[in-house]
Amino acid sequence: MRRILIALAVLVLGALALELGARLVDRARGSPWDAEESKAEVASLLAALSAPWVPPGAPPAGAENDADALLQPFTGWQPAEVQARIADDLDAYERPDSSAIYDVCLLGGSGAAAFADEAGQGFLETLARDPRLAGREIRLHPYGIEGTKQPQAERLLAYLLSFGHRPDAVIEIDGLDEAGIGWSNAMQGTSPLYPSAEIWARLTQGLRFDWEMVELLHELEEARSEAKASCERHLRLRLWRSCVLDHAGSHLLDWQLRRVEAAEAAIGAYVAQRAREAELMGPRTSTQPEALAATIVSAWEEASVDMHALCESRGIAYLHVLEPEPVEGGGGKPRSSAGVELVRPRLRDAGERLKARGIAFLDGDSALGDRSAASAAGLAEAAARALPVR
Amino acid sequence: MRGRSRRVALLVVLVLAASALGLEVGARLLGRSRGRPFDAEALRIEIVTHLGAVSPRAFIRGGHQDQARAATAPESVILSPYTAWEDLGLQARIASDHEYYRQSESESVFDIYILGGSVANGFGKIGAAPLLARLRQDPFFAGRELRLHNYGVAGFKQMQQVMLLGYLFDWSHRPDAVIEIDGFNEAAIGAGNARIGVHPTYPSISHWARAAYGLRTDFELVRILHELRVKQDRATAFGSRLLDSGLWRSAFLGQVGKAILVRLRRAYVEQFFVYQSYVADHPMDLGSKGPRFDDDAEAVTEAVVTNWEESSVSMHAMCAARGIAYLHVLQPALHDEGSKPLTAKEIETGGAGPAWVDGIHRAYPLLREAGRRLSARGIDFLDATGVFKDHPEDVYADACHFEQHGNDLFAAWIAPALVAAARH
Repeated sequence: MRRILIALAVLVLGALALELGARLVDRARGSPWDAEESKAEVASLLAALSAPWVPPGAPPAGAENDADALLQPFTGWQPAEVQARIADDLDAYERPDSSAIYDVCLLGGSGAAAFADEAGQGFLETLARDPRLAGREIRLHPYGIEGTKQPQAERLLAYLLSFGHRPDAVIEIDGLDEAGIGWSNAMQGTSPLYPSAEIWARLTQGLRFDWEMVELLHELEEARSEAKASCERHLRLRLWRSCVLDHAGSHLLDWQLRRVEAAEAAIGAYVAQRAREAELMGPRTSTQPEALAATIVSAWEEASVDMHALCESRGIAYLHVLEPEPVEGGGGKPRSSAGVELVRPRLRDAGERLKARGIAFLDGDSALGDRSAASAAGLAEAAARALPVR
Repeated sequence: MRGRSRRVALLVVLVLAASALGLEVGARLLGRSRGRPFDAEALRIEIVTHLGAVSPRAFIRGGHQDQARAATAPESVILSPYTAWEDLGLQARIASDHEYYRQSESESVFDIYILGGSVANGFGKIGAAPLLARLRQDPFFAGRELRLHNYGVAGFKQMQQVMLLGYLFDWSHRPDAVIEIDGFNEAAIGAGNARIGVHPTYPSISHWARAAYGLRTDFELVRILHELRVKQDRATAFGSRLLDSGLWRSAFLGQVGKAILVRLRRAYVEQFFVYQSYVADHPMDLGSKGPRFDDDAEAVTEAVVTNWEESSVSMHAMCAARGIAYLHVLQPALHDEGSKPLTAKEIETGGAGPAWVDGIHRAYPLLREAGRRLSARGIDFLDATGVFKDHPEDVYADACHFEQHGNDLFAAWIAPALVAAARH
């Protein structure tokens, strides 16, 4: 019995000495141990490990995200608000009083969206002065979607018409994003005819699973669970109250966190090196500048031919506007790039070909003439005048 | 004292051994009395079979697997921004046809595009030869090489074909004629979609969900997959140990081991169902249901028919703008009442879900009416719903597909209609 008591006393004294020694060593190193601080650190780590894991490539908090964008089977994606508006507009077209209203459907990317915001009202006012529309209510349906490009607008028009929409006129405003985004797509290995690679990839890839990925995620989940269990144990047993036990627990946690970091790094490396997915690339195409420019221009021209045909077959007026180059200080976003510079003059040439086919085409730059600032109002007036009202 | 302990220990061992022997003998006698005498080799094979079913890791697609599959399974489905999904081989076909049209050789060839769903795709495969043979007999095509390009994609329904045609034109494809074969998917899948809350003009939700599944990483999916892998590993490890230990040679222990393996496999399968349900439901959150709609059966049918008719108007307009002949063919369907005297075999193999059958019953008469309106607009429309009316023999393989004989009959109807469309 006495031996046991002595052994216990030695153990207690040893533990006390260890605890005291550890505290003294910490103090001598200039970082005195602080139980509360240590507890807070472990608690914070536990909170981090309990939160959903953020995959590599996910947008950082506060960054632009597509939470409002819905995958759409025919246009790649669309804002949720547009999906709701399509149904509302169908109801409006089906109402008996609809035939008395002159409906203008505005399509395109950011240029069309900006036009609706900045000059929509002015456009309607100018159009209302047209004697052919005397006394008719004019309604603008702004379907310009920021970040989209041809052939997305063409697909959206085909979708709206098949769905039952019946506008009296369609205006397509485009040209800058087709050149800029199309070019940038091709440089990233995505078809220039695909939607913006940046947005399409964000919406579709994220972190697509395959078996290798599952294996890596499995390892990560194991490592995170193990580290989380250690944190919980550390707090539950109040190990943070003892300098020695806290250090021992922290060493174990450090080792486990290194495993978590290694697993995360492995996932990042795998995502970076794995083969790109076919659905993100589209059909193969040449990235040689001349061939690429020709592909972009041809697709833009064909899309306009289709939009005109879709409208013509239903007696709908169609106007294609090549959006003007934003002028420095004029409020628009300058979108100059190698692609835009090479493609844009060819779009003008293609516009002339469209005109020769009988398609109403308005070159925004020519329409605005010599200007010192981008004039949305000027473009609105020019578009209203150029619209082949029936 | 020690002697007594030894005796107790010996007794325990003896009782255990006797129990084990009793269980073994009992298990064998029980098996024999049930008419299934114990067969160790058969039990081993059963365990191997369970183990084999639990081991493969082939249910997740994407990444390398998609790339690898492109060569071996070009019909595999991937997501597409303009047609919801496409098969892996389609991108390669679009690119190679794009190059083909840049060559002068293409100018002398009469290129025919087939668009539509799986029936169109089947026609593009086994109906091509009889169609081309008939066309070659017509003086209109004398001296011209004819080439058929199969752009039918299983599961496609309008508006997917309109979108695909527009996309092909964007890629500067220049066929001389386009044949659109449709009707069944629009009516059946449209009604099926509506039944589960998806807009009837949207693509087949099951195909689209399959193409979109796995999109967006979320923590819940990671957790589900992790659990799946844990359960799979647990079952695989136990099964391997059971085989290596040789316990399958014992009637009792082998059966107990097998029962545990079966339970572990069931747990794995249940978790797999959790995974499947999650990925199936997931795209529903991504707006895949489409705009709101009136789900009354008549309103759904009206939406289906309007979409079908408008899509044809669009395809015709796009072709006409380029001087391309366009022929729209309304395909036959087994459940289109009165369209064919059905054989016992066709009735047996032609079953379809109630929503599909109802969709066909409601939509087909209206599609025929809409077809007449298309004709009145100057669009070449062929109502081929009666192509098998005078054929009491077996034609259909299921509710809509037909094999060589059916395709021969179908080609005989389509050929003169295409000649007429090309002459316009």
